[in-house]
Amino acid sequence: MGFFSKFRKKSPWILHYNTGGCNGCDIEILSALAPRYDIERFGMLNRGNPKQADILLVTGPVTKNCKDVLRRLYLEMAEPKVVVAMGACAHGGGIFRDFYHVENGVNNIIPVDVWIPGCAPRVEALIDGMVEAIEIWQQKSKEKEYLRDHENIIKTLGVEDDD
Amino acid sequence: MGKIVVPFGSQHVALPEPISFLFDTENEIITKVEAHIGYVHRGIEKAAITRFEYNQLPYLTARVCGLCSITHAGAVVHGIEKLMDIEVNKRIDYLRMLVVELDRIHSHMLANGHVAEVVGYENLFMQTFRAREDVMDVLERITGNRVQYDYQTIGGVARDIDLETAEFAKKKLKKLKENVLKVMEFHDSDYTFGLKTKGVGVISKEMAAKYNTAGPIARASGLETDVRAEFDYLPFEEVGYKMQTRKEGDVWARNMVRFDEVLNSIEMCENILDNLPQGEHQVKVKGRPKGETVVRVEAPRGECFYYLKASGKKVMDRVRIRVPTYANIPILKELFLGAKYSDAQAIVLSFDPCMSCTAR
Amino acid sequence: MMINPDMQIEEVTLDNVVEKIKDFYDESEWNFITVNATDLGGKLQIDWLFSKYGAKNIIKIFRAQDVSYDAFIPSIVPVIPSAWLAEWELADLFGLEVENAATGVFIAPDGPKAPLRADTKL
Repeated sequence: MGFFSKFRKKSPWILHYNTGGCNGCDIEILSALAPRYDIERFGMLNRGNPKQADILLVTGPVTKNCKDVLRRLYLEMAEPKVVVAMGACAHGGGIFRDFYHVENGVNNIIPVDVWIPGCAPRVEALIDGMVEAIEIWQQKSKEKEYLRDHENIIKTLGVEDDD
Repeated sequence: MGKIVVPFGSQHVALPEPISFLFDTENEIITKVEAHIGYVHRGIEKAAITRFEYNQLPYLTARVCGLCSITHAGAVVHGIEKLMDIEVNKRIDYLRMLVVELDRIHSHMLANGHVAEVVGYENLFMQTFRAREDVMDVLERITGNRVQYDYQTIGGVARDIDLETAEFAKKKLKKLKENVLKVMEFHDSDYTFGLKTKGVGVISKEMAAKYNTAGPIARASGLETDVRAEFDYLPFEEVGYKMQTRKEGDVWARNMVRFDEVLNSIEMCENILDNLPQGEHQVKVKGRPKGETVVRVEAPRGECFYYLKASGKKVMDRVRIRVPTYANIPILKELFLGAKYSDAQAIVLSFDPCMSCTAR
Repeated sequence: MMINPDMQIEEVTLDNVVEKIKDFYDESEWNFITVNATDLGGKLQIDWLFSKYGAKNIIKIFRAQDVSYDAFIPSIVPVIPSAWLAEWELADLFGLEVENAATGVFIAPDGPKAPLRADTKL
């Protein structure tokens, strides 16, 4: 583990993106930032910049308009990165499954590491998922798997000819 | 100075939901706006007439939007009850009204806290959200969930309220009222907060009428429109509903109108809890919906309109949803012209935009 | 409490709807709600809906019956400047030809065309 990663795990920054859910999850994320649940205890801050973020928190079933934005955000984040899918509709679409403008879940666009179930999940479940995400992040950081698997990831995302 | 194009969204730290604006700016003044509002389009209107039966519709429309789920579900329930000729008893009306008003409180608190955050008052955001948790507790105790309640069903509500819960709710509401008054006093008196919000994004009464704005945005400009007074869907007048208006029409006035409404809603909730009529929380339902009707309900952001058409089959013929933010998008676009780019965030969030409602 | 909306329906045709709305509409008295299309199996019914400020339960509807899919819908934006969004939605979700309307507000480039028509199976 490098010098910086030792401290990075104490302050994982979140990048939050709603891909077309009902925004129930998003207001729970806002509550998580507020004093009652106070996710900042774990050093987590909601920052809007993908280049500085460690955890990508995705809600919603991924609409056709959102999928390119989501893919781009994922690619812009620095390695190692963890993706957390929150809410029932992020898991294969939920109630929106097979609607004409929906891509049936985050997993169809980018690889997901942590799933938080529920409609909408409780804030405690969100915090639990984020703690899990930190552990996975540490694991990834140790193994450096992303370096070996890079070609494969690019192929699954379908962005070979993307600059 | 040349023209600079600044994108805002779809992913932005101030926005909980995807909406994107493309601002053309000259010397920080916005000269042209392009808005893209369709990121969240899922196709709920099509699904409502192909995949879901009429009795499943309240659960589907609740997922149009998490913040005003109760009003969407409520609108469908009112409409289908009209088409099926079901008359519910007084207790059901009162319980529905209670949850609708509590939902309005939590939505308004969220909106105001959010505006405070983007004008640079993170502490005020935290305080508002701390106060908001009280009403979330009450909602959770009454309905069983924090966000998606699924409380209103055709011919009643999902569960009854007991005395203990009513006492708990009254205690929490009292505490909430004190906290709201504190936060409101800060809004009223703080000088620097006023600099960031007063006189920013002003809508005159004529403009509000011309662009058919809805909800707190219209009422902050002095336009007296509120569906609770214009459409009989629940007996709001019985429990002390009063229309709240302000004259200024700026970001500050929109926040204050929302606070006024929170206080009015707290009063209404207390009245409801004190005068809860006796009765069952469900009535018998039979038959299928037939005919056409329109429903207007007051969502936290303004008028939510439903057009329902059915022909006695399990699946409806048409469900058309028009939500308050949809009505407010045209004026939002006009309002940016001539505003400073640094005020754009405050203007967007003072509208309390709900994109998942708008695009459905 | 059962709702009893007072729906005042006035039949119009696509040719005279703009004039009728222009004569009728007063911005301080009436609130424009939306434009709605309903597919009745091959034929559309298009409604322009208004509600009255300060009155109870009054909904005014201008209704054009039997509109075919390839009809040209006139725009009421010169009378009601906020109507563009509802009209663009008609063009997007029903695939209708609406005066001055842009498409792609809701539907992505790879999305289906005219999803809300009854004959579009999805």
